[in-house]
Amino acid sequence: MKILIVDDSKTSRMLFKAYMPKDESHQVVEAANLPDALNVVREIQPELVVLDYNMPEHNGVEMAQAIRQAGFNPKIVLLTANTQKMVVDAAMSAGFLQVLEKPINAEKIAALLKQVA
Amino acid sequence: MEIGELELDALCELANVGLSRAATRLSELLQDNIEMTTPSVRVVGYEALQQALQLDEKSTVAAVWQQLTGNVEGTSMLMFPTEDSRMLVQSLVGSSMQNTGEADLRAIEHEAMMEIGNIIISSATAVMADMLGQDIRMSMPHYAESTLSDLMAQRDGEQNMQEMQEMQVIIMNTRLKAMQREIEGRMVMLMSVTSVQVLFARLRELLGISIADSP
Repeated sequence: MKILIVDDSKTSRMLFKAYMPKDESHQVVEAANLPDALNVVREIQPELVVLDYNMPEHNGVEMAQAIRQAGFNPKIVLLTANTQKMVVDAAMSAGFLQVLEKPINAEKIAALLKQVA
Repeated sequence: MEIGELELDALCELANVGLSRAATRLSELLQDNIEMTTPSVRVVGYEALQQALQLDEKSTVAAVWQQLTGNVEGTSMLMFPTEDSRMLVQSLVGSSMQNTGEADLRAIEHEAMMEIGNIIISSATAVMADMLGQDIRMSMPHYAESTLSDLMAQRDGEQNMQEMQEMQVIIMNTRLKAMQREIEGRMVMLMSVTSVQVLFARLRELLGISIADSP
């Protein structure tokens, strides 16, 4: 599966990749901001996009909307510790598959991959 | 203390997760949407704290703090402008305070701020401890309304001056703004040099694993 992880934090992106199952059938590509994310989406057309919420220029929900407006329709998951109702409601309204609570770990990723497969 | 770019990024992510969790708990407490700025992180010497927080010498803040012990030792402190803390308490227990005398009112405010602080600080600290895989124990909360230097004097208690001079302060700064009430708070963590080194060693360990496992 082709997966795009978008987070302004390099640490968060690295942790996500570290906790991915060691399975060569998955390709994980990273982006730190919206322009880079859109470039990756155009280039590899990921099946799954994992978006952080709290980022400096555009939040995760805004990024999801931009990806859809660009004509792509991947499954999108929000990855955040900010799980207040306002954020979860915004994500669900924007068509996110689910909200995954930070901190990420191997079990959460395994459950996500099972759900998306 | 030298801090690499990746260590600072890791510290920012730690702050982001911890403070986002704090925002979530505050939202639940107030039943209000909480707007949160992207956290900034700075590590400064103890002496530079006041300047780094951009607080006037005479400004009074309402602060709740809890001592951290275990592998990471220090203090987590949540601060609000004094007026905002009153609004915060009013929002939570306002209806039960209508026929309360001034002395009791102060006691209720004091108690409520400690409880609010405890919930927010504990949730932020616990999630950071989980991320780091470290046991961090927290003391009972303390509360005071005072200038920053008086608060620090109360917090420092019987610690000797040499320890204080060596204290590194990690300022995890975010504004948590309740959208219907215009309440703004900030959170600060203070740690000893040794604890900051423990923290960075653990962060390096986590990132090392990540780097090694990256395709």
